[in-house]
Amino acid sequence: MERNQTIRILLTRWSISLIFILISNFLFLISGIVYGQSFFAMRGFGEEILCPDVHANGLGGVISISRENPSFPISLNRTNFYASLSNNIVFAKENNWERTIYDIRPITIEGKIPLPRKLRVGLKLTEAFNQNFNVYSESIILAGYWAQRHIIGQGGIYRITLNCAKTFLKPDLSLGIDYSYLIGQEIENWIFEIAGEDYITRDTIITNYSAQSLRFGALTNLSFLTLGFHIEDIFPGKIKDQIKSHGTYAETTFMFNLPYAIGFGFSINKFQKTTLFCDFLYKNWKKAKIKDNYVSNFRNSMKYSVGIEHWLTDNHPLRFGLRYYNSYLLDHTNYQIKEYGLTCGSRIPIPKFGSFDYSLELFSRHGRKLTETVVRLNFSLSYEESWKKRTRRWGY
Amino acid sequence: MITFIKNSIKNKKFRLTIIIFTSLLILFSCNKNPLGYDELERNIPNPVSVELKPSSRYSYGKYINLGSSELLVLGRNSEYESRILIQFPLNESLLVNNVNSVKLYLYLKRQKNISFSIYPISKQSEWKENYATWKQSDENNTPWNGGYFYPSLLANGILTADSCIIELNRNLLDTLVNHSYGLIIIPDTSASDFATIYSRHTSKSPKLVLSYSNTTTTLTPTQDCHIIDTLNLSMTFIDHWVGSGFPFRTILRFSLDTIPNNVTITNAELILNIDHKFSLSETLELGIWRMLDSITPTNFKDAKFASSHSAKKPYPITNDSIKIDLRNLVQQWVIKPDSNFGCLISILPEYFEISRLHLKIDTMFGPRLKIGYITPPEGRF
Repeated sequence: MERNQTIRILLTRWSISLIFILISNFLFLISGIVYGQSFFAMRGFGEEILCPDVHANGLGGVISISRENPSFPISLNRTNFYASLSNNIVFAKENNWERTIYDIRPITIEGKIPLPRKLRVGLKLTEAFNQNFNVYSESIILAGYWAQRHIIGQGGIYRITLNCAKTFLKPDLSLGIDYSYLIGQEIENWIFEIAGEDYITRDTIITNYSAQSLRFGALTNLSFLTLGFHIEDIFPGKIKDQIKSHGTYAETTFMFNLPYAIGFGFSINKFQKTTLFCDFLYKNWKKAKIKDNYVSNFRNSMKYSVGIEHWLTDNHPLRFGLRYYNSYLLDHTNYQIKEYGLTCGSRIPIPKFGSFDYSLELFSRHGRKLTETVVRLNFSLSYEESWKKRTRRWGY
Repeated sequence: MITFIKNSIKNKKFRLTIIIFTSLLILFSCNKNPLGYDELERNIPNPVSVELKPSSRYSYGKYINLGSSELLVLGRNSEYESRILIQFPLNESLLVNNVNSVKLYLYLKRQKNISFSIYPISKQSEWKENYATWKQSDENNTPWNGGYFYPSLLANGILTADSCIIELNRNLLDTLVNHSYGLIIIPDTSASDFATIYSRHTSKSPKLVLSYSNTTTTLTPTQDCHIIDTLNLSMTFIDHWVGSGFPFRTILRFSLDTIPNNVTITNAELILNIDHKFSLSETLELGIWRMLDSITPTNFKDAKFASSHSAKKPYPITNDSIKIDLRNLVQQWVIKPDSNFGCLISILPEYFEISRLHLKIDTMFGPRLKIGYITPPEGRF
């Protein structure tokens, strides 16, 4: 009898998960319609989405103690669903030119379900790289008209992740593993536009990506100290390039290797109502390969984050953080692109549902000549199953 | 939360802030500054421009049927002669009563003093409007040289006014009704110009009016057309003409081997310089037709070309050159090089009045094709 009930509950949970996944697919599909970008998103694999977790974003992007760690949270008592959305305003400057681009797109959607024996499984869809861009060339005379090349890229690389984790030792240690299937598509339209929004030519490049990865994570509570660690290796993947130009079609397929990533972080909860966070992420992009060759203009990337969370009341935290990130990309003058960020965030509890988290990131991303000031407002909605009373906050 | 949002929306300052913020976003995002373009780490292809001369060229003249024309041309000069054929539905019943007069009404578009003679076409020459040319009378290629007619003169006259009324010889009415197949209007050898007359395909159709003592009977043609021949016009192999009435066609083929087949043609302009021109109208229209057969010195006169034109361009006769946009055609040739058999240049439509353009063919001013193209961008990696 009890076994049947457990199976029924499990089936219900998985049905809800499936609905979430379907919704998420729809959201990712419509996200392709709205295009915004970093002006560096056309380089390499595009803009890395370092931390899709809005909670962690408010703390400067502490990845190791966030949903990005496969072992997070240390223990899971209730089914949890989570979705986040990102609004970006990018104000870019180069020479005497200025341009502002705005976009809004979903970043992640996730479901995690507790199982017997302190096991849990989860399913997640996340944006890994953003390849949206929209640039114009200088005007040239073409076919007797003043024309501008207008290149619009839409798409990115996404992860579909299956997660499994287990809690050990009276919920003080959690180990988890993520299997991810990376899938992506970018559609570039190369248009020569003339005045009046008419165009002379239009070529299309479609780039399809597929790869797989494994990520291992560990999270432990040692008195007032929480330690997190994760490592990811991405197996060789495949890129298919299709170029469509006036009835002609060329297709090339080749292999690529993304780098491994390693990250660790900790939080100190020694002070009353206040927790300090630190995080570090490293990716050896120099070992990334495309067409069996190392990519000479990739650099190893590093991200340092520090954050502080202060609980004003039991339900109202304030979060602040700082972040420094040197990108794997060089700009066209071979200057490594860097980011300096200031973040803050909070949470609004939603009774009998879960919580609504929001964070604001202000950061400056710059190459030698091109600088971007980014205002990113992230929102997330977390649903926590209410059949069991919550006893503690997850991992923080 | 919902209450907070509702209150915010009701707040005027909040709404104003949103409007200003959105306007600023649109203002900044709509500009087309070349910001960030350098970050594209691609080998960005530059537009390429080439100018080609024809790798092969041919020209020829041809008799064609002119039955579809809305204007019938009558006249003669040192180079052309044009005659008009008209057939009315005449039968015995028209002759039951005494016919007082038989008058032919012609309505002119181009008025010139052309003296002419009208004869009945012989009964054996059953010409067909849609097949008759100077050389043949019907679809069976029945030969006739400018039309077989009886030497019995129905009338002669001069075309002078808007409408021309010609009284036919009443005594030859029986010949016209029972022993002939329409009538032919032949310009006199003294004529040195051409007039144009509205055909039966227009509202100003020719008509034949038979007057009886109390009544009149008006007949409109069942067939009409004009037939044209050239006089003292000899075209050598170095001449490249296009013309109408007696059509001249020029075939040009440009070798596009140097252009890769995956490029986008941004512009393709065929430039023709005109050496000598003759036309009854102030404006002609040139058409370009895609050749469907490979062209050799032996088959070029019979080579097939597409049923619809690929491009056309009006040409004011006062201009000395014409540029025709062939972008789509060249794009097609570039994608499928096997389909590049060249193009045929003619006046559009070929039955239009009488005209002739002599194309310059020398190295400097001969026909040339100016092409601009862009090679496709490279992939992301």
